[in-house]
Amino acid sequence: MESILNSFIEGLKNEKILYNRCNQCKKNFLPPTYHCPTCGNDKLEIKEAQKEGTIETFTVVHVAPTDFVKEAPYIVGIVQLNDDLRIMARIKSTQNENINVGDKVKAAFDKKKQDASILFFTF
Amino acid sequence: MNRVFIIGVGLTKFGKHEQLSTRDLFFHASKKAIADAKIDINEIDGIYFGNLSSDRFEHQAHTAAINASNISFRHLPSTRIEDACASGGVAVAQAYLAIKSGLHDTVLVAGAEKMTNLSTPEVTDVLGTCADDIYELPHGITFPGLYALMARAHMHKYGTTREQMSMVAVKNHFNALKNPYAQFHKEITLEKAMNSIIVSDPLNLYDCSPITDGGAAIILTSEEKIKNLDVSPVEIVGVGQASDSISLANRKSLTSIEANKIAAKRAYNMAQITPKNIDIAEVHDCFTIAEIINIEDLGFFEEGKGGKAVEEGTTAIDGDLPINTDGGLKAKGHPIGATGVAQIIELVHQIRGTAENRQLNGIKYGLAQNMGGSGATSVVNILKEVD
Ligand SMILES: [Zn+2]
Repeated sequence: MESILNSFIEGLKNEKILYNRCNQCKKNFLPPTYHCPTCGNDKLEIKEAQKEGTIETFTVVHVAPTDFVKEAPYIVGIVQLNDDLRIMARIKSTQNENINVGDKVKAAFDKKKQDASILFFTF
Repeated sequence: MNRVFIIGVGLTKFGKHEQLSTRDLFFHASKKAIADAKIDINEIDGIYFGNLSSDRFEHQAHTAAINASNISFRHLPSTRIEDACASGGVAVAQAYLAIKSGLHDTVLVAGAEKMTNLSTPEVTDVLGTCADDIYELPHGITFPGLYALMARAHMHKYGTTREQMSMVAVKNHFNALKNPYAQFHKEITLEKAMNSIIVSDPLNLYDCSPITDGGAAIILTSEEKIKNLDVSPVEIVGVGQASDSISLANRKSLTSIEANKIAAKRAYNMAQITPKNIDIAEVHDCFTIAEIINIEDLGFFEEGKGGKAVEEGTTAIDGDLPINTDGGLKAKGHPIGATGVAQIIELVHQIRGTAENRQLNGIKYGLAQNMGGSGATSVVNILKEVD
């Protein structure tokens, strides 16, 4: 048996954002899962997303969970990638840019991390 | 088929109860509901209990059995329901099913949560377990953060304003003034609501429901049983529930909650009514933006017009469609497992005429919408006056 999680996290470790394409309804989705959330088909292809996108929404977290208190405030966003894909990740900005919905961002990878936070976006 | 009626309701005060545990909150709310129904405890043949996380809050699982043995010596079947913040509303739906099926005649449905013994970051951690541990939590997102993401998307797409969100808080605090069980009895100004400290931008402290201890209980029974009772029953005529991806980014929309729309449609269909028939609603305002999105998803207002409806006073207690007349989660408080049951209690009071100084006239249909996480569970229960 395989874990649907491993392929996505392993992809991030190799600087790839992997997603699924349904070979029946042709919809794309993230993260990889067992069946197409649109039509239920389980014949899925694994594809690689482009490493740039636009900010669809974001928040600046001030009150953080215990493990993240020292990092606050920080920005978490939902980024629209190519092919109707959407993904949540941190948005890191060194120059404190004035961030706006619709801004273009690039994917980056923090190899020290082991989980979904390997991926973050930057300007 | 059996019809299902609510014959008794009971609430503890919502707020901080330093000396009380989940066991106590369950017991006191349940005793009140049994007394209100004017029945004997021995008439109850099953218990459903909504609770998110007594495990993490109090290091105690298996609370359904504890509760049953505290209230009855008859070894009643007792089941805990955990569907995040929708646990209470789903417990009501499960109890409905138990009576509808004929398995039970009279059921106690309760919800309780003890939360204030932990610090705010610790509570944030516990509530965080209702978000996706793989795709969301590693980024440091929180529940205020998830609703802030929806708020900004809603503001960007529809022009919903900071003021409109704060107006939800002002309205619900105003309504709570007349609810003796509410956590807060403090009228707030729009200016104060808009300028409180930022929790997760664009949401501030007054956009967020508080951390609360509390219990709520109701008694459900069958059509056969109500004939012999000296109470004013209220009928449950529609039950709808739906689920979705728990990860917000993977859902169809960031500005509406698909599970709400589907759950509502299922409940309206069962009740054979439309949103226009609803006279009053209790919606899950865990955050102010949630109330705005929910009243759109339930079909009361067009998508993008929820904020405007609040601004125009349509959802005020003296408006065309009063929303959260008891103060909502925002001001009444949000003891997670109790919330969905407490929503039903306000509808029962308004329908049977026991809402005291919040009483509205001519309430025939009431709707309660209770939601888990950022909207991956939604449950809608519709109540009706008995003709
Ligand atoms: Zn498909």
